[in-house]
Amino acid sequence: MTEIAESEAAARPTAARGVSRPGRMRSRRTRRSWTSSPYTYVALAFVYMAVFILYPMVRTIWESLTDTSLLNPSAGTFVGLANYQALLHNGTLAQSLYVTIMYVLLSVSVAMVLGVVCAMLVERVTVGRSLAKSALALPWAIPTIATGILFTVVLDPDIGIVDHLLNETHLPSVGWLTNNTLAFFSVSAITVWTLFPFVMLITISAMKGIPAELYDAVAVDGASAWSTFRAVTLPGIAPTLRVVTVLEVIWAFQQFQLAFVLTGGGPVNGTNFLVINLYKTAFDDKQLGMASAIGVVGLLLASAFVVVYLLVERRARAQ
Amino acid sequence: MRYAALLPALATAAALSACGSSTPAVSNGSGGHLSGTLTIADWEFLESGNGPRLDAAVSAYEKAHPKVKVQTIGIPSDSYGTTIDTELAAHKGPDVLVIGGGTSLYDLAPANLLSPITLTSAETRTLIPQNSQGMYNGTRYGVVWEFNENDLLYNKQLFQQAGITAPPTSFGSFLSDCMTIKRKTGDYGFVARNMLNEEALWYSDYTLDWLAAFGGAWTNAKGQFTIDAPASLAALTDFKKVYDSGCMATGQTATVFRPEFEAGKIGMLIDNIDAGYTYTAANKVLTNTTMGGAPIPFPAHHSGSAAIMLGINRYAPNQALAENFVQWLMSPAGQQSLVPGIEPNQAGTTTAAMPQSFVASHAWIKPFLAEGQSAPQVLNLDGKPQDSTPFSDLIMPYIEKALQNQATPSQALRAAQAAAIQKFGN
Repeated sequence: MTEIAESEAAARPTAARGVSRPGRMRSRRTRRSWTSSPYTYVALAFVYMAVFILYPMVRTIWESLTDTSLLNPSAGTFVGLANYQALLHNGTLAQSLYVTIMYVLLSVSVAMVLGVVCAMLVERVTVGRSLAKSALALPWAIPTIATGILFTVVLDPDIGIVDHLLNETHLPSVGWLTNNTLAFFSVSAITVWTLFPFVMLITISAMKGIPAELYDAVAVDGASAWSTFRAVTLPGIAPTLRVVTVLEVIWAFQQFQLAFVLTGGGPVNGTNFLVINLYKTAFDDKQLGMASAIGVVGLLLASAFVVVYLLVERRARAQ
Repeated sequence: MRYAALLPALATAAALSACGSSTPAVSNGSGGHLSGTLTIADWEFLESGNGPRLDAAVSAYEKAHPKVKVQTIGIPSDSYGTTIDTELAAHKGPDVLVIGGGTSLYDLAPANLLSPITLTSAETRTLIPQNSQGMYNGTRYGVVWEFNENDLLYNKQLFQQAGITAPPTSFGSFLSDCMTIKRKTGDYGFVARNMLNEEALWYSDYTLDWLAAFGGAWTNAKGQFTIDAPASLAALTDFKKVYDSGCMATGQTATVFRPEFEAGKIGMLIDNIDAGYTYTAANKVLTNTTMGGAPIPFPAHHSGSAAIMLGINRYAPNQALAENFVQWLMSPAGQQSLVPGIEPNQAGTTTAAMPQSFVASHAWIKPFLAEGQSAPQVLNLDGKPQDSTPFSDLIMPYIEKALQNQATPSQALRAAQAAAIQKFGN
């Protein structure tokens, strides 16, 4: 009971047996209304999550156990794990998983390194720092679909600027999007271009939380730039980087627009990421049930990564 | 038991209502009692050249039916199929729809999303053969909205610069001319779709312009796959020769290479009559005199036929109005209204011919018209047309494998044949 409630209770006459004193009722009522309001606000978020996340997730899992067609979405029949069995025997899914995992690992790792490096460099700039930060953040601000369309022209072997520069140096044009291997790396590189600005901005923000005294201390000890980074900067931004890594991985798993616009999943399924595969299964093959099964596989993959992150985070905190 | 007495009355009422619910086939689209708004969806309504003409063509229905308002709905071509499929599946969408651009009659009809179309015997007699593509399991669900064939379009000025006096008439001369143009002018001699990010359209182009032009088809009349048949192998082998020759622009989508052709930077391409009309419409580099048309120079000397159908949404709120519109469209009056809207494409009946004045002023059209209605239908699988859309998803990566030297054409097509049989049966 709060002090106010106690003093109010003491000032009131004792109530007859069986009748609670108004002071106590008021304090109980006050305590209830005081503690229920946070749940009210949180409940709104739960309702949103239930409607827009939980229900679609459960519905997708259910659809993955049916043979639902896009053209007759209400008439699917339960087929159990038949879709998953078909996927296991389907070489396309295995290849999709492989290129997706490789793509996520490559693009996220390069984006993280590039983002941190750019953050360090931008913080060293004294004149024009804001301009530098804005310029480097621009790729993140451009809608992904616009980026994809832009790079189909930039990488065009005939009219694209990249091959034009190569030709100017007497090098032949390259099939950036038509060669199986190059297309994968081209899409990954463009993904890095869109992802690294977010890493940079968050890292800059995290670096501002590192006490300046720590830098002064290592400077007194004569530490080099690399030693300073290892001893002071990296430990200071590591928790933030772990969270950013999780976000970047999830975004990379969900990346659809770039590959769809640039290569359509080709050449020869070289960029046929899981979401591209899912889209084609749903809207070209019109098999919603099978597409849902692919979605569940993707969900399990992303969840596995999140579990790994949580274990790493727990270990880091224990240390 | 007391309700048993009502049964005869109920049965009579049911029979009468059943008689009344089927719309009688009206020979001239008469239906002056009909009123309301009729919605028609097509991607072509958004095209700068065709759109207004098509809008005017279908709106002519309003003159014959003053109480009706025709509302055209333009949906971008790259999302047309997905939009229409999902709308119809949700029992929404337009009353009448053009079936193409990613939609397929053989997907919609088995899913019970299209209404059967009834035509009079008089109208049926005037139908061109391509209207058979509107049939599914013996019932008509579509009529030809427009159709065309593909043929060779070439830049006469580039030919002149390269010292070529006549369009090619064989694959050998075609390849030779392509390489000559590249060598002597620096511009590409030929271009065609070749990337999976245009998969559906690449499937259409490859099937019509190469497979059919080499006398091949994906299935035979019994519905058995013929993916690795000699004609199909010859088509892919020769396409790969052009792809590897260096004279063909690779890695470009149609949004890039079509303007390039229009700007006079590419010697030849195989395209439809509608595209040819667009290339010369600006009357700058390519005009009706500087662009030529010729039969496809491959063994069969014709492409496949691409008919775009018109169908009725089964769940259209204005079912009677939609049926009446389609019947009017296939009548002589409707066809005469439609032709100015779809030209230079051809209409679905013999009652409406392209004006001779138009043909005379567009000399390059003649090879297209000469093919007429004889071009074979090869886009949809014979015997299993409902598998056509997922089939195109299956086959094109194998074509690409051969182009990327990950398999020989023979290996790629044999693997595709096996995969198709495994997926769809034979």
